Amino acid sequence: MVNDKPVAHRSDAVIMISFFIAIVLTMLTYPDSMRYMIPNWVLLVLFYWCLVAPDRVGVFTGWSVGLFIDILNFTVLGQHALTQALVALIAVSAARKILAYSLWQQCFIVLALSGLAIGFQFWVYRLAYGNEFTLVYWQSAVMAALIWPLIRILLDRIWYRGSQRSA
Amino acid sequence: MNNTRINPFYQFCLLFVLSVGLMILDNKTSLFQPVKTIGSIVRRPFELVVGIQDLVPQIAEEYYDSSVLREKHERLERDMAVLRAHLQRYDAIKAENERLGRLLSASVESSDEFLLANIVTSNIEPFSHKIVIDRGLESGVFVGQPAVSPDGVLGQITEVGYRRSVVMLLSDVGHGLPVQVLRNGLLTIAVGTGKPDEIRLLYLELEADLRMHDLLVTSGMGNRFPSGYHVGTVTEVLKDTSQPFLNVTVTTSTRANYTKDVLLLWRSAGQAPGDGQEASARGE
Repeated sequence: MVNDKPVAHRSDAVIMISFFIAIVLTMLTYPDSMRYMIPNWVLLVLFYWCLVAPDRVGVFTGWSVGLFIDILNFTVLGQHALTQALVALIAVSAARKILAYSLWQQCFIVLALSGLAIGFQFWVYRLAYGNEFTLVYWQSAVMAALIWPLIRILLDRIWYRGSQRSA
Repeated sequence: MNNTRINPFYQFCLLFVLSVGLMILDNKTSLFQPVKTIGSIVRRPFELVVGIQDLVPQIAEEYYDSSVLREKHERLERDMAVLRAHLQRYDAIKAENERLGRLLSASVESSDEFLLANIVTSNIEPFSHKIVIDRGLESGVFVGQPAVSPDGVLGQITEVGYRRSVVMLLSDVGHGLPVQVLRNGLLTIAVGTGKPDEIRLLYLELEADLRMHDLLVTSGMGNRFPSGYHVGTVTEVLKDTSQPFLNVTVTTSTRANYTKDVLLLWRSAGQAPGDGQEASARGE
């Protein structure tokens, strides 16, 4: 992650497949009791790529993926797009600092970012329907933070596998 | 995916304005209906992969063990016998009801044109209670169309794509439904609470005659839902004298996570289901 040369040959396919899987994970049927615990998979994956490959994945990618989800889910166009763009902006701008943190410190950043995303999406939804906000919605952010190390390790393995071999 | 040329911040500012514009336009106009129509096609590859999830228990349960299959078959036959026995009376009651309706010169509902649909995705966002079904414009589905399950009312259509549409469930906070207590005909409105399979009743006076386990059915008011479909049963009645109204919690008859089949209803002959047209078009 210090220089991009070892991973430059990696195709964008890996990134796209990871987003595909993240969207599939979002669309799975989960039991009712887990309803609010499902982390924002796409946000986690986007966050990862913004950190390790900011030259390829950035604000525009985040926005496009978000818009794609809006189209897929029949949600208000721009809702997920804006959320993901915001997450990408924060991740890209502070990528170096965040990478210097330990995995556990990163978890807190994921918690904050997920919370921000939830708050924002809720706000958009509230404008339309007037929901009441309850604490259960934060469960998803906590889960995202807990799952982040797993995502980080898994994607690191995939992304840096080639570079380690060549090194 | 090249972002290096423009400063990410300016990029974000541009996209922020664009997103807000999109959200407003999408909310206020139907300009993006074509995009929504495409959405149902773009979903395909994702649904194929997600579909594996449903396949796994199916294979394990049904195809593996023939005794399970036989048992299920027997159960279905038993159910059908019971239902057919009940149906005999239904026809007579329906005919009588129509006669009485004519006597009172009331408008008689000639509803019950329907179309079967399957649930494709059972939740699309944590806050909203919405599901995606596999019927859309192609089958003549329209916004506001009632959707019921074998157990009771499920919700209504809020978005229509080409082959997919979105049903807003009763439990969604954006959903309201005119209902009636079956026991005494008390009319009220049921709105979603945002909790799974839970709704509450509005504007019921403290003295209102309402008990636990009362069954609620659609009242047919508002001309959207036909009357008589099960909505739910009262599970909690809280009488707080400092409040002007009763606090009533109702559990919906349909448990959204456990249903597979959805029936879309058409009210009059004027809005016949597109399925028939589709079939005739294919026949030609």
